[in-house]
Amino acid sequence: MNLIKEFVEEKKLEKAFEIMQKYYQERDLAAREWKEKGGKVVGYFCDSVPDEMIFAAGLFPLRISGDPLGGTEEIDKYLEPVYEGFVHSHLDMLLTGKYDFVDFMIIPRSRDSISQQYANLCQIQALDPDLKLPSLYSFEFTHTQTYTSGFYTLERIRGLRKKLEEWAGKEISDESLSEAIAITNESRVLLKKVAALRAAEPPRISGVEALQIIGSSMFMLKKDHNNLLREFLKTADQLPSKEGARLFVEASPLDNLQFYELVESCNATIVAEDNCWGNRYFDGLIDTSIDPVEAIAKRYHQKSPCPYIYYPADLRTEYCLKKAMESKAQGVIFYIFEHDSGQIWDYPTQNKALEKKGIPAICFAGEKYLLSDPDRLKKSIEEFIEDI
Amino acid sequence: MSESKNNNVEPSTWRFVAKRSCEAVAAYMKEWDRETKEKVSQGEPLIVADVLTPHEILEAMDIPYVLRAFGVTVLKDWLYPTLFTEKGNEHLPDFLTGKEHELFGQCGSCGKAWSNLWKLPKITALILDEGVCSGDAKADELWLGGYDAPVFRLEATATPPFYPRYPGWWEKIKDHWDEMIDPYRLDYRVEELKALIKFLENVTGKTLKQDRFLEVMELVNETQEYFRRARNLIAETVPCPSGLLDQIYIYQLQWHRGTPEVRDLAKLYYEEVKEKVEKGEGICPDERLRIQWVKMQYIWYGDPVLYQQFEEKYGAVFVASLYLSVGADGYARNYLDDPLRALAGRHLFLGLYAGPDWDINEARRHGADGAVMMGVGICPSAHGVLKTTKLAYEASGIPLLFIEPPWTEEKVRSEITDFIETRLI
Repeated sequence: MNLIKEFVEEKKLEKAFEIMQKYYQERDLAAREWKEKGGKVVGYFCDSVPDEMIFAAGLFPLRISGDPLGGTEEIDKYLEPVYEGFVHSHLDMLLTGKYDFVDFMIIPRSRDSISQQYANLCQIQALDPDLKLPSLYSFEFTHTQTYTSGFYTLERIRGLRKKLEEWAGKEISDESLSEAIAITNESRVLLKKVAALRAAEPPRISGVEALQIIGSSMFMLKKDHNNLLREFLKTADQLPSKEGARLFVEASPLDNLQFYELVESCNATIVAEDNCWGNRYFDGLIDTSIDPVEAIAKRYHQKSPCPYIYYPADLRTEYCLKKAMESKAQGVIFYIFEHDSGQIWDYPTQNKALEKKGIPAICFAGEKYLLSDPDRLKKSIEEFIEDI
Repeated sequence: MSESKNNNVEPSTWRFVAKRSCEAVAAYMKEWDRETKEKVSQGEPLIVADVLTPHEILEAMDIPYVLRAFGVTVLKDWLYPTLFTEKGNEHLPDFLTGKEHELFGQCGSCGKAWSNLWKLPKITALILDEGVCSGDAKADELWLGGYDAPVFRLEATATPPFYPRYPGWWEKIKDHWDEMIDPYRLDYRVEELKALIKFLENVTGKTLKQDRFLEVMELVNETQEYFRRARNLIAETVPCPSGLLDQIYIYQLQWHRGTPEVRDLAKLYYEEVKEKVEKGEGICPDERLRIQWVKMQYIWYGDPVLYQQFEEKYGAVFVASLYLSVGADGYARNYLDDPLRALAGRHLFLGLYAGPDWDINEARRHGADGAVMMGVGICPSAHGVLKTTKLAYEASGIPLLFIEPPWTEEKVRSEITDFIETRLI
């Protein structure tokens, strides 16, 4: 049964969150439905790919995510274990056909470990010509946010538009881009309301719930997600309040609930985070007063800094501090995956800045994608919460 | 192979074959060291630059510079032995000491590389290339916290590895770089280079003269041509006239390129190799096997005598590595009418991290019976491609030994021995 159709036609409003939850859990559901109707699916890594352009081309944008329980046996034949676990998981799922419905893949030059996979997948394909992989496109942009690099990013956005037009077999009109921008901007506005309810005193939405709401927007068509979210928000401020210590999480990409569930089981609520699967995903609206392609380039070039934006140098620290303070967090948890070389180097200055503001922090570094030794983490987090 | 062991290696323990040129390089390095120290003590600026930054500009502006990079730490004691004097480890930033250091795990090796530079008497400015790791760029920022020096960054725009972007690049990069490398990428780098020149003019008070820049670019091309000729002779001659140790030692010149002295030293090396070829002299007269060392990481410096043992026992000679080959194939650029754009075209793509095709081509060029590669476990930027490289070698019919860490002298010896006995003989 088509859940969105059921929702729209029968107005089972109380089910809005459950439906988002379902699409969070069954991440290929909407894309497969689209595919069954004859549509094409574009997979992409990271939050640096303008999904509004994919949708404007008449294609289904699907953010690729991993599965910590899924294993990496197939990709281990080709790659050393030198990337963050979620990267190995993504690739293993691609190689084992779990994303066999994806027609095209955009690999952005975001974190080093992701951008390297364009070449790695091409090489794997060369070694095994029978392997069925989507058509790949390397979407490059700069790691700085300078005036000059903005022009470079604009040029690459134009390149992406051409590639999408080629895949879609039709031109992307400025009108369709503007329509898609209106939808993604609405999504950002609605998700900001979710963020406000998390940061409220007391919080009305937990971190675990928020990750599912935000994440599901990357696995569904945004206009469908917006419908659900609008209904959900009508009464969300009356949800039962959340208890416990107010925590902010500064973490490597978290495409699953393991860590949040563990933290929130320690009498705490994660009120905000600096994470591309969390609040950072919907920062920054696209300017609707200028040319749509230039507006998209502007938003993605100047978007809130992920750990792979390194200049200006203080951006990441300022962002962490601002967001932790805005959410009135009592403490910060750093949770950094093994091999996440961008995130780990942010820690010293971020931690110092938090210290100066009197916000205590605890750091877990070198962590595995599949949450390992939960008792150890739980004990440390409980002690940390007790201290604050 | 531990870092400390690397740093303890003295060139005097190496058995050079091209002795005349290696000794001349050693003398040059000593003189360079003395001269640089003198200049700096007399008030000249001192720039720290990355390995892959355009040193040509510094050379053309007559600005003293030293390098920082993980790849050069192994050579640091030869490159600037006496410049390391003034500062002590007490100035090291917090992230390199105490408990925070533990958090960085494998990534901390970049920080350790930086810590070597803390002994420099002063730094006027840094020129950094994003290179292969954006985390490294952040380590730079942390490290800089203790030095009052401005920094100029060059952005990579594409993250290695680069394949399959430039198939067969080594055949055409010198003359057709402007067709191979995307124009928008070149445009951006040219803008960055112009900004770099202005930056250097501001911080040093020196200016870049166009004639001098052209001269440097020409000298670099001439130097690489001698590397190319030497590499070709080594590749096609049995017995091998000059092995891995010579090649790596001579290759220090690459980081001093752009001067007549360095061009002449490269020429001297080529002529010495040629002389050996003409006389039929090789490092191992009873040469029976030729082995390539693949990739730049962790060529075994632990005990250079190791190579000698394989030569004596099996007639197995390590004939090739990335170092001389990248000089031969990666650096030269016909600069057409635009030397600055040619310089951009050099550093945007040197052939490093270009995928296994070139490595395999180099193995074939050198008539290698097998190849050895070390790596994995340090950082994704440099090591993510080793398994696919191994698979590509095996698919091309060239056996490849992949030595995984931890590396000890005994382990390296025993695995190479086993490889030779079971796969090559």
